[in-house]
Amino acid sequence: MHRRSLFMMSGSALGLALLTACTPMSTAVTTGFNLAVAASLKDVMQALDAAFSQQNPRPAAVLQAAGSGALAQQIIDGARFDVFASADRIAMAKVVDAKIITAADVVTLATADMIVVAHPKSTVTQLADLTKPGIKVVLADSTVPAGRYAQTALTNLTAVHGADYVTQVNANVVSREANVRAVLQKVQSGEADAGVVYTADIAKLSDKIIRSIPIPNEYGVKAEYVAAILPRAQADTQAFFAFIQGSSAIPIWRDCGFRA
Amino acid sequence: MKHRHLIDIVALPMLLLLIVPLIGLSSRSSLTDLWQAVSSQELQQAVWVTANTSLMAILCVIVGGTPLAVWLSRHPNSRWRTFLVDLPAVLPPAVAGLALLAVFGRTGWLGPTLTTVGWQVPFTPLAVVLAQTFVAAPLYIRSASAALQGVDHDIINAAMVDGASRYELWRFVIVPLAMPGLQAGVAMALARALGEFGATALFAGSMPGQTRTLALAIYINADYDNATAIAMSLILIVSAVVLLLIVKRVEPTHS
Repeated sequence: MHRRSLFMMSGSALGLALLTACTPMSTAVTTGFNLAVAASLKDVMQALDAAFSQQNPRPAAVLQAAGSGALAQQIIDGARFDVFASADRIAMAKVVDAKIITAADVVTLATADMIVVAHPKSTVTQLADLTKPGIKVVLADSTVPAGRYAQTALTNLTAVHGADYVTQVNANVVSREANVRAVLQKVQSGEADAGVVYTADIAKLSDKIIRSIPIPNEYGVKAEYVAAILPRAQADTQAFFAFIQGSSAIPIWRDCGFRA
Repeated sequence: MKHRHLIDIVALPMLLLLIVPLIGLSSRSSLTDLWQAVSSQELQQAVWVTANTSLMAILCVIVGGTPLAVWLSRHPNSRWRTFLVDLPAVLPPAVAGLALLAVFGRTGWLGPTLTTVGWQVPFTPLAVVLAQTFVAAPLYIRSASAALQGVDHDIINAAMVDGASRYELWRFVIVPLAMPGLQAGVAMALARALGEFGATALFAGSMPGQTRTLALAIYINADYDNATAIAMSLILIVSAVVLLLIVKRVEPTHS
């Protein structure tokens, strides 16, 4: 145990040294926020931080974008961040269970819808096509939020596409990826025909790159993004946290494909 | 004597860094959790996929790599030949994955042709085998060609004077003499194939029972089901230890 904490200490010391070395000097604040964010929040968090920094000059935030579960584990293991933003409540609950924060600290930031994406050259143009024999479908694994949401959405769709829909689509699944970005990458590269991702993942991609096939609202699944300020956060984190929940942040969330 | 103590102290941090995490890993899960993980379908499927694909890969490595090793051993001073063979082994595995996609992928060089004859490589166990072969073969070829070069020419000449045929020469002289190096090469290549991750993830995807090897299953389970991930890691560690012991046993010592 003693040895382990020593290793972690030297690791974080190195991290700090790197941080201070890379951060340009500014008039007001000298360090950017240290944010642990779900992979799908990377772009929007960068945009939000940039907008906040315009009013309150400070260096750009340092983002650790990864799977929510992996980030929760890092935080429990002692990694220092100002804010943790998770793609679902399960990962956040791990941090609450570890008594690092309380349930009352957790707020909902935004939601995103699940959407079916297909390669522009693929024969998949509508939801029913996912069952066509020979189609290659890629989903996220059920150990990550995107995989669970996708499975729920497919199950909901049996109401319109028949009881066999889930079974038939699952028969076409050729890979269950470790994160949603890997799903998008496999469809975008054309190795797979179709996949299920967050609307936010494709907000900035044109139709020429990816074909999007929305899931009707009544069958869709809302991914809920939750966040909390972590203990020992920088003094002005509260202001940033209020900003990303506030009305001036809404256009930024929407621009990145979220509902806020 | 004083110097020896100094080197003991200076060498210690790296030794600890290499060993302590492995010990820490084994202590992070209880035996009951581990036993439960071992009996899970997820783990058994991953073991099955890993065993099948890496054995196929090692077969490809031996069958395809031995002629190449012989060819290399006949040009011991050709730098570019060694360079070409070594390159895949030092590439980041993700690069290997992209490179394989560029050739065998749907839009790759051979992809469309293969599709017309009904063969699609990505997302199949064959893709896993190809990825493993690509990264593991150089280790075998390097070891095998060094072993073949090391066979004493006087012995070969003597066997030829005694009237050995080409077949007899290989069967009874060259291969037995090179055997330790060949075996070490196979063990190293197998160890590499068992742990292959990056190229497989990009080129073969991650489908339980099809392409999800132990290394991929560990990655996916690391956050949510630690016990399973640790049990899988221990299986890979034990295999690696066994293979290293084989290498140590057969490797010719220089003392």
